[in-house]
Amino acid sequence: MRKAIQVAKWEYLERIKNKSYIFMTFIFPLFIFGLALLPALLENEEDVSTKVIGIFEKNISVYTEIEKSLLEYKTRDGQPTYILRKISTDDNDINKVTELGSKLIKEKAIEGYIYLEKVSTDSFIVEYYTEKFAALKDIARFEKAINHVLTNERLKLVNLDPEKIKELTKSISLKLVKLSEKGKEKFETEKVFLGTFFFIMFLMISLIMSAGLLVRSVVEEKSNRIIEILLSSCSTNELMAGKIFGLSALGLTQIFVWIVIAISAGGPVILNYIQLQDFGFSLIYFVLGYIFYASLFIGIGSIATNEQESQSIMSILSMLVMLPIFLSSIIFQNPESKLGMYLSYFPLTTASMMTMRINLIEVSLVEKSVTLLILILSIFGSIWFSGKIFRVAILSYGKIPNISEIINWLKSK
Amino acid sequence: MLRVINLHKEFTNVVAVDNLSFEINEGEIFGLLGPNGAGKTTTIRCLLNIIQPDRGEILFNGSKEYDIKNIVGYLPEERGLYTKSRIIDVLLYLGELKGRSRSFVKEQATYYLKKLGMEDTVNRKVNELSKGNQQKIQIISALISDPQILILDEPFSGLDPINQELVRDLILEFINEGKIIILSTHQMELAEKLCNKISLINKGKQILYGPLNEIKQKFGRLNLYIKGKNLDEGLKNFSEFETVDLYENYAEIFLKDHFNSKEVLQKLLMKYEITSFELKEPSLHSIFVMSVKQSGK
Repeated sequence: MRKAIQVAKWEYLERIKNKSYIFMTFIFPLFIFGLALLPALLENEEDVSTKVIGIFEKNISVYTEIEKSLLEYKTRDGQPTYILRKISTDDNDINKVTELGSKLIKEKAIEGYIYLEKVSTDSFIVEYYTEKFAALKDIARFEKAINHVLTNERLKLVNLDPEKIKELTKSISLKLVKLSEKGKEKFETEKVFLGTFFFIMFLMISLIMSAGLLVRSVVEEKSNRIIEILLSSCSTNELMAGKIFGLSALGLTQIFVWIVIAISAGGPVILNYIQLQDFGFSLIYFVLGYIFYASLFIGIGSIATNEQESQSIMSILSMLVMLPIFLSSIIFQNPESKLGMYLSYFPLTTASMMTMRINLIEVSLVEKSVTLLILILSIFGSIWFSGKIFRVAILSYGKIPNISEIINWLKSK
Repeated sequence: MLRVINLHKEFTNVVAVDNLSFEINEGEIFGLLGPNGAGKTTTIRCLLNIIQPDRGEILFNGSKEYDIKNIVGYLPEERGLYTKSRIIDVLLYLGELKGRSRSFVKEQATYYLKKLGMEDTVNRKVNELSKGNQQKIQIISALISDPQILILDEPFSGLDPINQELVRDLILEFINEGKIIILSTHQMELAEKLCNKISLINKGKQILYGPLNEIKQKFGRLNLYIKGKNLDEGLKNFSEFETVDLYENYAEIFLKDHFNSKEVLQKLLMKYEITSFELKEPSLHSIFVMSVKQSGK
């Protein structure tokens, strides 16, 4: 045990200095959070200046209504974001309109212009002309305003009161309340989904990252034969256990740093988006899941004999790790799904499936205990499996073993 | 004393070590010799308890109750270290992994680094050193825990003559403390100079074993050593010669059983400018070659 701890300490202290580890630990989360929060931040970006938009109407006159509808958008200093300017020519000839519009845009009198033509009672031509690429935000707002006005027009045609319709068709939003032992809890589905998803994502990313470091370190030790010196000092089991401890400690450090960064960088913002119902159990599944994967990876990783092979092995391991992420949609669609329940008993997906399920639905204590037991037994199983492979693989150089050889290793005493 | 009794290890379809037995006393350098694939590495791995033998016993001072991992220092044939780590960190790790205290390992590291003239490299990274110096660090790492038994696999390969001398001194210093060295090598001259006792194995079987001088005596015949200017492959055509090992300025000849040295000398003088003609006990190299050939028959 003492030697295993020494190996773990070495692995931990050496890997933690690794540049890609440092990058992934400190830069990556900022990048991810940035990416996740950017759209939200952009959406809230205030408009700076007022834009003059031209409007040409044929067979219809609704421009005051459209302008009124656009009044809901204000610049930072309270001015309307959009002012409409009616453009017209004597004979409303399409070519002349285009000419005038272009001229006004060139003179910077308008930003662009809307072409609105009523073809029949229920058919309109609506186009927006501009010289530069229009901001998607503007387009979306024009679309909304024009739709609103034209819908009202059509309602009036059949003698319906738009206000009345709006009132009558008001949609409701369903508030979810989760009944649990703790009593009533307000439950914000999106936040919990997102929270659980992030939780699993980070588990997997951290695993792929640390597993990569680990496989490379085993390959290095094999190729420079240090492994023989190590094995002349400790047993294969001690060496392997040390590596599993070291790897798990690395991963958990990484997660800890990520949590600290998340809370200190955008604490309230992030907590607005993320919510976990059962943090305690989530953490237990996380740690056990991590150790399970780590102990499995060490066996599979040890068969690589050079950098190239370690990369192909890593891609297989990455797929294994991505599996729960792909399967997570099953749970998000329906947390009660039978498949999700079965997958909770399958060691490779136990940790992720259970993390999702315990946060989304009420899972009985029996089920929690059984899955935890499965996970713990699987850890022993994968340590046994990896031990068998590791023992032989770390001393075989030159070529990657085939399946039948690996089966022979597993059968050997 | 290290005693190996009937050590046997088989892999799928291959007998790697076949009932091997030997004894090494304190203060002895034991040569484990044999061609490639003879079973030397497997024997060493069994000794190190890296792999389990199918049969046989290994006793240290008459007992099975010892932890070989804590009393052995090992230098594998192929060299390598954690290249990106600091020398002192590597040495501390490898020393502590042998169950030694940090302060003890530190003391040892300082001692050996100083002895090999490398005390200023202690905080440098391994890959900042020359190849030769990296090798020296590796030799230090085998000695750092002050082991009872030292297993060296080709310790001199890749070392220049000056460093070879340094390492030789380390080996002799170690053995003078009454410890055990197992030296695995192909370099027969080296084994001949250093070893007190040898075991020659081929295809897993021990074909020669014992103190070096006894083995030479037991071989019971003399070899012919000639020096001369124009020695060439033509020597192999002499009917009296069993085998000829041709070197830069001399040849060692393994003679057939019945020969007349006078006739041989006359024949030689007719063809070559012989400057020296000597009959003496065979070199370990020729014993090695002959024994391997005979055991293969």
